Amino acid sequence: MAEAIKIEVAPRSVKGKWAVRRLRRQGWVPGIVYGGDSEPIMVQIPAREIERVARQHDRLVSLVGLGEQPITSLVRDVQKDIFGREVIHVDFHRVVAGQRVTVEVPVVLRGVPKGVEAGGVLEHATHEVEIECLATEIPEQLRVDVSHLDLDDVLYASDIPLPEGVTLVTEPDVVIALVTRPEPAEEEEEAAAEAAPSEPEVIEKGKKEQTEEE
Amino acid sequence: MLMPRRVKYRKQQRRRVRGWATRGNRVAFGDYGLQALEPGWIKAQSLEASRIAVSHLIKGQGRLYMRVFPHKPISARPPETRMGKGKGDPEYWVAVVRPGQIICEISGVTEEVAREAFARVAHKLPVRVCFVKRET
Repeated sequence: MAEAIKIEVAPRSVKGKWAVRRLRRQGWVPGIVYGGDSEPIMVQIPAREIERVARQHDRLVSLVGLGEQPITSLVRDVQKDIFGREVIHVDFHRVVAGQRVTVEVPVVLRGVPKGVEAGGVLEHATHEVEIECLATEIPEQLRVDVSHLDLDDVLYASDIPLPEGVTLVTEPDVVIALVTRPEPAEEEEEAAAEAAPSEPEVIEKGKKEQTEEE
Repeated sequence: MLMPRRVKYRKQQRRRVRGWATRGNRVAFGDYGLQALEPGWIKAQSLEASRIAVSHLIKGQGRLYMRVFPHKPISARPPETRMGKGKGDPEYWVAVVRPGQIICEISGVTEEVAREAFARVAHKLPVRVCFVKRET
């Protein structure tokens, strides 16, 4: 559990597509603080801080600049542009001490599986799992030792060791990682390709069949 | 070659490729991805050539995920044919790609290998692409 980092924000008075576009051109990123008993507050974050904010997704931050007291909140959502490069909006969710929250935490695989040494390939199928824990005790990541996995073995979400006070929200039978056999050789694939028809089958219309029956 | 098993209609109109990829624009399965930066049609042949180029490089290690599929039939007239007599027969299949679309992903290899693999793929594609990493 890392210390909540401080993020400088300023109250925002403008809203709407065109106004926030102007704001972005001036070096700000729009955001909103919601949740708890208070009203939502529209905020703007300096673009130079935004990289730091984006890295804190689903983590606790302390918002400075919205009054005398800093606001403790979770970075709930970081919206990015189509290419996933620039942050265009950030959602902050107010939390209070002792509140339990549901967050997504990365799963990190440790060790070299036995199956990989035998020629298999380790596939990391699910990179994040949802957990419920105290807002102040969100783990940075969940580490799982996969060195015991043999060929065709599967690691499920229920196999992840969780710290005390943390419960799993993701379905327990979700596959986290598996060791698969290497892909088939080219020759087999070529043979399969030759067997395939040159043109796809055209789906016949249902109406035609009905009229024929009549 | 990749193509659908069943289709509702044999031929399609060409249509313009407009807008951006609002889905399939994040690395979802692998660790590294190749993202299209401009719109275009990618032939099934190019996708197959890309897949082979990567599989030759990684030699069974790691895994390649193709994120696009050639759903669109492109028809063509036979050579030295007069105009008229209807639309030509389907000649090949393409995947319609919009800017932002992740074309393929790779996992289980180092970043250097992934970059080398995608550089080879980029040479085979008709659109400009860039190398992207998983967000988390």
